[in-house]
Amino acid sequence: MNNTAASPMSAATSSSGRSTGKSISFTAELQSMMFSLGDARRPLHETAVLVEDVVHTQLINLLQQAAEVSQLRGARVISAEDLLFLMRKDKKKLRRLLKYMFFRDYKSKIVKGIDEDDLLEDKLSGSNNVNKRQKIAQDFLNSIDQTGELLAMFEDDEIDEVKQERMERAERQTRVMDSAQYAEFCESRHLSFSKKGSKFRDWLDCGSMEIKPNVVAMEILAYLAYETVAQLVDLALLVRQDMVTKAGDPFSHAISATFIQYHNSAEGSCMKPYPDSPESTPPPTPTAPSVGSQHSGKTTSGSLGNGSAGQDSAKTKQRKRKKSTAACGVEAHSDAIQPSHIREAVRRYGHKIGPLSPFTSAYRRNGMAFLAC
Amino acid sequence: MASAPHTPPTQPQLHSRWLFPPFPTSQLPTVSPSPMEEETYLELYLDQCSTQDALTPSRSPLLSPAVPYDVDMLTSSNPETAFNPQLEEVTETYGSFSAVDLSLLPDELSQENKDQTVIRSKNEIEENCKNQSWQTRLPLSSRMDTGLALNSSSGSSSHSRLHPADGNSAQSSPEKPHSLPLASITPMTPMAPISECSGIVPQLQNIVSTVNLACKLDLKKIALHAKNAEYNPKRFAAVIMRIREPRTTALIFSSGKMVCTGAKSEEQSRLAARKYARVVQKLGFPARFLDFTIQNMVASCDVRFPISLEGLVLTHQQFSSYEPELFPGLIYRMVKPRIVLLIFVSGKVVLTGAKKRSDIYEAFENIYPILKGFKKA
Repeated sequence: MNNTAASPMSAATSSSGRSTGKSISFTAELQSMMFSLGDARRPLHETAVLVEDVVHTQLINLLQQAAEVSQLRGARVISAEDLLFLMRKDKKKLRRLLKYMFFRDYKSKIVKGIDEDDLLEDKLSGSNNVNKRQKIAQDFLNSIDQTGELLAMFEDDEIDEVKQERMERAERQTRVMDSAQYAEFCESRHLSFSKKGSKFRDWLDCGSMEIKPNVVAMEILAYLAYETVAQLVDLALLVRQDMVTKAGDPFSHAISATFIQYHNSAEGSCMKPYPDSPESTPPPTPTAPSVGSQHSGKTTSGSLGNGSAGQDSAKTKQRKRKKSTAACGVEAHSDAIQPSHIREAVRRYGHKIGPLSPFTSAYRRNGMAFLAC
Repeated sequence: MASAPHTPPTQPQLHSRWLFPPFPTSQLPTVSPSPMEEETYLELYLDQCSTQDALTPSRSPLLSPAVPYDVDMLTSSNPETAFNPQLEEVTETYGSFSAVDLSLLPDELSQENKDQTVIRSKNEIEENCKNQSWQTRLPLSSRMDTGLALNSSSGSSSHSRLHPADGNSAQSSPEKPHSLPLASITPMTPMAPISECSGIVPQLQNIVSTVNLACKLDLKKIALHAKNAEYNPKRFAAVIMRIREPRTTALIFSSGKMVCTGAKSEEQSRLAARKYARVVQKLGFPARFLDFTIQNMVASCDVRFPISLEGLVLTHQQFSSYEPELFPGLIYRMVKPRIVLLIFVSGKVVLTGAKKRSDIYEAFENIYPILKGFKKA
């Protein structure tokens, strides 16, 4: 894997140099966000710092690529279209982004109708605000769509499995909470990067860029940042789950050397199944190797019984599809996610698997495996 | 009868009475319709109505001092024909329209009748029988106002005469709505037994309505002459006018269309719209009052227990959307009735998208058992 240039671990010096130079840190918010996404009640500070690093690096890279794209088309600002263009290869994530944008439109429409002041504000600011993001997205995808796949996404009503899984995890997490804890949990769920607009902009150092993102693009970036954090937590939870010995696991003797590197000795014996390729995960899924889905992460053993649906449809899976049974609830890990989990997760994620891996995404060339897009 | 203006306590007599020309009284300066006097009458009436607005439905506004009023002058075009159908409906349960209907402007007849039935149906849901007697009194008085030649003294005396008439008709009024040709749009739904219904009534917070004044308006003139009006053509092509009672805001467009927002009930919205129309009329435009429609009603209430939104969004996925980082509430799109509910963790529920009050109540009764199922211990 030659993503070393961009991977957070090796680029730690450069990115940490950047982050120590800055006084802006989202660590505290990230800790709350990770809690709301499935981590323990008090996520570790080191983990949050690492996550911040990863997200920061990826976003900066993404911004640079977006700036290139918009330069290509001669625009003066980075707009939503550029980001959509970068994401065009990954349908699932694109669809999730579109759903997010439509939800934003819908929510402003409703909230506007409730408060008369909002209604006036909206009228005063011009009347084409209804469904503005939806229009942007539709027009743009219309223009770049050659095969009709992208436009088909608008009518697509498939369940988003990753989202489904997150919802289930959240529900499991909150089931055992009493109302005070639940209130806290909800508070942390409300955190997002979009609420801290100016701090977010400074964090990304938008001021020093030649081409700056516009408002809708900033919204999308905030969403992508949040999505990256969510993906990281998803993957880290998977990794953590893998590290636990499961009784009766037939592959416990198979272990890969690379895995041992990151493996804490404290975690006990390396009796973890880590197949080299996701194809050989225990029970459910032989994911078709031809897909070469660089879901380097494992599709986890449904050994605990809650194999999630869709684990098998490897064809539909893009490389980000980690089918986590997320049976964390069963194992009841009360400890927080460790930085090692995060590192392992990113490593697996970027791991190129299969013959088609170099061809799956536009930005793959540059070496960065984006988690969110 | 000794004096013609005194009404015998039966309807047909009322009818015939109204056909007589108006009688001047000591309180009314004159009967002849000069514009200046019309205006004073309008003003007096309006002031009285604004005090009446504050009254609760259980008090009859007509017991307060004189109804000075001579709207007959305005509706000179069709007094008789206006009345006959209205008289038939005199005994309808008109409802808590304590804000006496400001029929300042010649209304489209059908519109007027429709409004009555709509308002009546709303009140069927809200009021219980105890108020019904008041309700029957009120419509009568309102009826009288609409285009009647009412003199104050005869008004009050006739009012007292009418009470026995009301008393007689009170019993028959519950049945009347069914037999009337313009039967209520929403049938009288009995209140659900307490054990089934939630016991919580959503409170209306905001009503958005539109009305067509049916004449081209000069927004600049309106902005210059009207109080509490703002107009900034570069920002927005409408005059924004506000009145304090009922506290509302109106957007008045040059085409004559008007949007009225901020009222807390359908009647208040209508009253406010009429007030705005009157302001426009006073400025010299031939404003009418066409197609008053309620576009949106927003209500809110509190179920008083915390709700597990994660559970709700999981089980009702096809109806709900929940993105806590974007909006703290869960957006639930109910299909029947077509209402959008915003459900918050604290138990507060906001309902919006309704055109009728009954939709809101129905939607809340539908969601309440669901929310109870997701009560967070």
